[in-house]
Amino acid sequence: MKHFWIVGQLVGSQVTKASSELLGSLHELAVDQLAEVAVVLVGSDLRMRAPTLGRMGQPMTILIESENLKNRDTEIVGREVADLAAKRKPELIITPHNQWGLEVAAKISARTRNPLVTDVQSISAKDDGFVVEKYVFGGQILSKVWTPSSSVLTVHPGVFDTPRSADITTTVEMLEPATMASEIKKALDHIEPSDEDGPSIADSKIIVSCGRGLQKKENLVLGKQLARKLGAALGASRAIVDAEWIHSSHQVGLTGKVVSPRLYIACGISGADQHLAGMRQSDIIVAINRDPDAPIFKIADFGVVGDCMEILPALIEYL
Amino acid sequence: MKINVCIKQVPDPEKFPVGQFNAAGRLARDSFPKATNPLDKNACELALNLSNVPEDVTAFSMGPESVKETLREALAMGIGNAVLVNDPELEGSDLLSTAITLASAMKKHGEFDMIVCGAKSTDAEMGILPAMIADILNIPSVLGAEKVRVEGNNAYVSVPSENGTNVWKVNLPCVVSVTKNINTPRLPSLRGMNKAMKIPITEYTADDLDLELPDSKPKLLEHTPVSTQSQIEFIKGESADEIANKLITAIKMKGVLS
Repeated sequence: MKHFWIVGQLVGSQVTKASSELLGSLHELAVDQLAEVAVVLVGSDLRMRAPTLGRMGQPMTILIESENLKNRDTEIVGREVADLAAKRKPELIITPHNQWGLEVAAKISARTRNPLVTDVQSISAKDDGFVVEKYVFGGQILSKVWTPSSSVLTVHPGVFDTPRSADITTTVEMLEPATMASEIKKALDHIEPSDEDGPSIADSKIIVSCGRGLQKKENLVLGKQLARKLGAALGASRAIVDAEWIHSSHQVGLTGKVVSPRLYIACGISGADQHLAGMRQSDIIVAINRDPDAPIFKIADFGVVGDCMEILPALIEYL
Repeated sequence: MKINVCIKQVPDPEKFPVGQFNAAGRLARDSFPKATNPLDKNACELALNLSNVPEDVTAFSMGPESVKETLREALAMGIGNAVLVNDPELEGSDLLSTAITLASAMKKHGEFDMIVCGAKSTDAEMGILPAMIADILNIPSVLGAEKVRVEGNNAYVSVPSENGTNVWKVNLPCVVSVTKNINTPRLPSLRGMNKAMKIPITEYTADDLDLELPDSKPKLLEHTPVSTQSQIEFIKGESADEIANKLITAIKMKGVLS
């Protein structure tokens, strides 16, 4: 039997949406290939939560648990999964395509020597291996890539639906970590609190994103106010991050974060390729821009040709 | 302190038209003006600041003869040594093979305390090569650093996160990738440029490194340009208030916002 593994990301006691939706990406392929899908989770205090973690509809759950794994750094997750994979040799190991998933996938690939393909949109079986599709160059080109029968993939967020919690009984396997505490050469020393406020763009359902069209740093307050009214996270184009209007943790795009919220409102963002690639999977895209030829309008669902300095105050007032 | 810096030659980001491919379906890299990946200069700057001894810093790169120009830029900034892995057999290496090759070149070159890389390259934006090199060498890595401080046998590395700034403590040797917030790279001086021309660049081939590359690697099958058909609905009105009203109503009709 073939084995497909999903490495799940835990935030607090929850498996992130980006991780659980990976089950959807493998569903058809697993049926077709008669493969068993397992969710692999690495962390501390997993035993107590095993029953709920198993309820995502996967036939198999592998938990690697230890107090030493408390901060769940990618360093340890990658190492543990690679170690187990070297013994059990699953055909596919997939992670969500975000900073966490990329780091984990890179480590597994490096340690198992199985090649890595990032940011895939679809997976199918072909010629003793897999064919994956991925967008490159800001979504202008769809690449088809063949990858060998033992591969590591990161899967683009928001492409697949999270399967409904099925009535499948999942087999839970509990494992001890292979890594000794003394082998862990990296630890979180401390966290310096930030002065930025508001929710993170990584998992927000609504994002209000701002660009150069706001003209100056002081006007960013309009974006912040609109975001607050909508309960949204504040996003930013690379241009205003480079101009030091806002911290890079807000940056949307290939060089920042790849996001796929329910609603993305682009204010004064013209839409550079690398920005579009980072947000084009959003469900509804609204673009507000003075230039009717701005590339952002090519992918938007709703457009307003106008000045953000007039439209944003009106939106804030209306909401 | 001995530091290795990874340097990548990229198509000049200022002059790089997107989506140009050669007959093999690969990026037609040769036809573009070349530049040093911008963040790699920040990596050089950090290495020079941490080490203080230029001879202890080595720039590593992989690619054809033309990559020497890029390595000379690093030497002109003050870095003492340069290593180029140059072998036509390695052309078209995927991420994993590139990481294995660079890690092998570093092992061959000698001991080191830290490997510094740019957090991302402008032509392939994933930024995970540093993590792969680290895991191949079985040493820790911290990606996206804004500050690096070395104390004894440890490095304290600051990385911005959702909650603030995470400060990681890692044992040396380690791999660190840096963002542009870490420093301002120095400009090469005229003296530096002259000196750079006199430093010999060490060259390795695949055979020199006893490379054990995977038998099978990902292969590009085809490229299809994506037609972006616009489905946009433009919201118009006499006043900003009217537009705001219509826009929110339209969004609500889609089932978003309650």
